[in-house]
Amino acid sequence: MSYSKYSILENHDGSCELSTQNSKVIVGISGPLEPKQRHRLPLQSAIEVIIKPSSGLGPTTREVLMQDKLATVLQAVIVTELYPRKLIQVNAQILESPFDEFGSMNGNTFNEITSSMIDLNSCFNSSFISLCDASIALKSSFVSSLLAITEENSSKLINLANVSDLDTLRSYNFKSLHLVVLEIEENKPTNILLLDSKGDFNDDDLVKVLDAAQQNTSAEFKNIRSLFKEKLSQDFIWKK
Amino acid sequence: MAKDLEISNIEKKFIFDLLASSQRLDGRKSLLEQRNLNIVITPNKFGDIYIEYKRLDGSIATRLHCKVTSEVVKPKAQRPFEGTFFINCEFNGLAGLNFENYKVGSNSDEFYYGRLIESMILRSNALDLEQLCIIAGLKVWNIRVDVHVLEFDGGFLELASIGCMTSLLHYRRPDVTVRNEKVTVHSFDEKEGVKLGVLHIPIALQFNLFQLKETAEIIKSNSSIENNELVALDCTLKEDLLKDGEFIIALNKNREIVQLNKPGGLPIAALKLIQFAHMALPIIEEITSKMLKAIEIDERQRNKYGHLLSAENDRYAG
Amino acid sequence: MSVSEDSKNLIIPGDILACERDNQTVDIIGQGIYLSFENHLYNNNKLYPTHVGIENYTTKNNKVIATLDYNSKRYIPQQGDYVIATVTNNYSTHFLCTLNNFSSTVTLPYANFPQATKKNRPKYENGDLVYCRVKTVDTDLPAELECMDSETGNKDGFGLLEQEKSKHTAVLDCSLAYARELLFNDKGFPLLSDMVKKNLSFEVAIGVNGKIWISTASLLETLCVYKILSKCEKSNRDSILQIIEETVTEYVKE
Repeated sequence: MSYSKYSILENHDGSCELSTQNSKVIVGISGPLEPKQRHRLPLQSAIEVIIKPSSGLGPTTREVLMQDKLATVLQAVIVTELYPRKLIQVNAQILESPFDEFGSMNGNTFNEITSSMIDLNSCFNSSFISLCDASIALKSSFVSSLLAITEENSSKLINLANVSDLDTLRSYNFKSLHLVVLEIEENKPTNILLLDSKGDFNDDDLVKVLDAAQQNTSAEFKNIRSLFKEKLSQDFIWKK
Repeated sequence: MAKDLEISNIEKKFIFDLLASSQRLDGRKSLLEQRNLNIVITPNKFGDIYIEYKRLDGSIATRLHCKVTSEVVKPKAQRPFEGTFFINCEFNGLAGLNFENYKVGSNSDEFYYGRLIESMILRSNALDLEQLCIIAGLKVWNIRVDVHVLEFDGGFLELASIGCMTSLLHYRRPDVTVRNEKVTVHSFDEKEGVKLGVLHIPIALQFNLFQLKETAEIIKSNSSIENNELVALDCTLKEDLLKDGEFIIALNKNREIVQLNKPGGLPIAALKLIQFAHMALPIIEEITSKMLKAIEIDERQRNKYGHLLSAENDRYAG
Repeated sequence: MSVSEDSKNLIIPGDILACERDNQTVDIIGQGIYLSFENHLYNNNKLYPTHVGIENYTTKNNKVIATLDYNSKRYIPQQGDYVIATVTNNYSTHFLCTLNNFSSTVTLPYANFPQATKKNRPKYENGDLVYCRVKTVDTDLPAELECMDSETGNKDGFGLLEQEKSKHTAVLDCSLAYARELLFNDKGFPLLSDMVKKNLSFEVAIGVNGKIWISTASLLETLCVYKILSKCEKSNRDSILQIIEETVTEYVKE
């Protein structure tokens, strides 16, 4: 289960620091803002997403790819037509990532993919909470889950956000990885907003993954609901 | 963002009046009082530090994340015996909407402060680079410190220098063995990490200068130019926008000046320089001992069961 | 309506509104609720909640008003709101103002002042604060402010928030819901009257864009009022009197 703190940045309209068992990101969202010329769209708001890596200069190509994926989902969820010619700025900084220490990649190329998917998964969940905190109009809610099928036993599904032991995580040999972002309507997971799969898998695997993602989404959303309940009573604390 | 923070005339005057009567908007009652420094060391990690200024009501004013990483690289041709060392310190949109996200012009303020921190630590030999050599001319360690500004309400220079130095002091790189030019890097399970050779701890302090009377007014009234300034430590972002000049001094606790900077602005009497250095010294000593204490506490927690394994005999006095 | 632990009212985007569930007709939709035009042709438009908030239905003049109560920091102009604007630039026909930092600018035409003529134009400097009302909001144009009651042409208390020589003024930024509560619900939220009862004399102007202008006779009193208002935003109602007491003794010692 992830743990999140909201409204922690004063300079942004909405923010959230989200830590899972093995990663940590901080997201600050502001909007609707006065855009620069290049962001001005006549009928809807532009969404600018910036993801900064945990070490080194960025965003590099790795982060740019993540930015694009995050932006497409946000574009679908935000009611962009409410803020024409405005800009919504999403800033994410990755603070902890399981593969950012020296030698942790183990020379395994798959680890690089795992690492960026873990970061992206946290960015998704954290930006949803930030968007709500920033009071930007949304069509619906979404929760992202990252699931992996291990090679040894293909029926075994692992929720990567729950793996706390970094050494175990690094030594896994994944058969496939699936990032699933599900839309939530009336408390139930409904549409798939993004499905990003890497590796070797068949349609049976995918059905299993989607099933597991639905369960995870429902569980996470329960958490988010109680988080918002607390947030609202904090927001209106002077009413009590 | 291209746009600047807009601050109304009323707010400007209010903040300035408060400063003139030794009050601060965040509740501090003296111009020389700093906000509460808090050092948070991430457990189970080396050189991963959050450093924050807290206001009197406990809310976080400024928060930085400093992270040290290392890798094995080829040394520079001119310096085959030395490791390499980088500090990456930049503001981005997360720190505030007034900061540009894509590369900023080289004359902007935040860019300048980043450079200042880099030159202070890199060029004062705070880190022993020769210790980072594995095989001369072939393999050396590259150490890099990433400073992320997470929340920003002034006080960047102090926090960045404290954060960089604390994370360098705390960091341990993996141990290596060299056999027949073959380098093995040991994980922390195999061998204890090796501390970096930190030679001294420079810490920057920024004195902010506010002009009390307009220059034209002074000339008219024939009074002396001296003592026409207010000196304040640890300005908030809004106070920072109003300042007329600054004076930056970096010292270590060996009473050495590492860096001095007075980039234009309000002129001050030359002798004030020494006065500032004397004022800075006890502050820097206090900060240094706070840093070392935070690291010591962390070390003790990591080594909770260390005394059980120790082979040291108990000694009794007398 | 008070915000209670009652989670029945908590609405998150994607949830179904009570009026939709019960097929209840709503005449006016307020903040936080969006009428979807996706099914425009079929005339079965649906109301969606777009924010995290508390569902609220009120009836006024036989009309059902649905709103979602939520708090935020950034103001989006709505017609008829009282705001405190910062002048950032002036042109031949209008001032350019901002309501929040980094938000889109709004205009304040010279014609929207009482007794406006071509020659009689107000002289405001950049950075001055003006108390005004949002006159029109258009999706394709910047919002327009006015400094008078456009029906009567009277000044009605609008205009420059001045810095008199003998007075000390300050501006406090706060959340939007807090500003609304202070402005409209003095009976239910008697913070300002409580402060007056404690022998603090002050003037305030509250803009629903989250700005409170304070003016008192001395610097420390201004700071005291500033501190009380900002502390009360983060504490619950029962501790208001205590906060006032403590802050007054801290800053305004007799």
